[in-house]
Amino acid sequence: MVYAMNAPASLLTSPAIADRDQRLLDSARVGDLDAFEALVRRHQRRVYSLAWHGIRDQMLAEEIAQDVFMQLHAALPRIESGAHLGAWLRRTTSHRIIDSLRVRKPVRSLDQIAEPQVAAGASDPFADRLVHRALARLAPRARLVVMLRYMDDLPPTEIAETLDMSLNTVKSHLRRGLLVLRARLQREPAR
Amino acid sequence: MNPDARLRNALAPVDPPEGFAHRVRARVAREAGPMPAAASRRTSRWLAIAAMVTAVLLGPLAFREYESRREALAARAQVVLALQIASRELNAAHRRVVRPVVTTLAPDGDGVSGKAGRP
Repeated sequence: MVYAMNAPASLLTSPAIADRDQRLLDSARVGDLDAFEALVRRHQRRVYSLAWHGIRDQMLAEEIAQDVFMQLHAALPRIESGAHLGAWLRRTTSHRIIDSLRVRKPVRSLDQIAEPQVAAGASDPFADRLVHRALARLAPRARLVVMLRYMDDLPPTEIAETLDMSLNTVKSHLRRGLLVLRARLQREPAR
Repeated sequence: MNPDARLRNALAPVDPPEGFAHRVRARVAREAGPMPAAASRRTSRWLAIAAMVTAVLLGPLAFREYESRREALAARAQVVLALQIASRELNAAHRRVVRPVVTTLAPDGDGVSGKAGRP
């Protein structure tokens, strides 16, 4: 098996975090913009990371992330809990990325794209670029499956829910995607 | 480094550009209206107040309109009744005037034509 079926979902919200999100949600729902901005700050990294790794275009990634939070603002009355918020953001961002990848033709090569700020002690940028070049060759939905698996440590069942796919499709995308990636990474070792 | 680890490293979290949350907030303030729930609550409150004011202002007018209409209907009913009575009386009077002539002519059967037929 190419992935662990019961890997912990690192981005699943803990009760304390969900509780804090719930309080902010309650305030944001009645029009408190400070509370809404606090919610954005708490989740911006997750949403932007997904958009950036999916699109690899800083401006478009920010546009997608902003749109997701605008959609969140409109959907606040329907967000039931802090835990629901996390899943909602992941799902909305993923679908927005897939839509964007479908209509967008690459206008620049990946080599021309500047790397965003990554946390200190991060990995080798050449190796990362190679991985992203390999990821870019996958179909949009397959790319998102691999990203959600390796960014969020999501189990296949949650990936299936997030992307509205069957579990078998997710497993198949993961298997094939990882085979392609491994083959490319072995063929082109990081410079 | 194995491919899985390379994938994880390449997909490490990335911070959004400086001021991202502030820009989202500004966009919400610019583009979005008030919160849907709060807006609907405010709208309901104003609708209730407007309904109350309308009822207070237009209530007496509507009641007066209703009363005058009711009186008009009652008057019309009285006129109709009066006309019906008058009509009945007229019919009775007419019958009293016409019946004696008819009864005097009736035994001949054809009394009128008989007289008119002879020169």
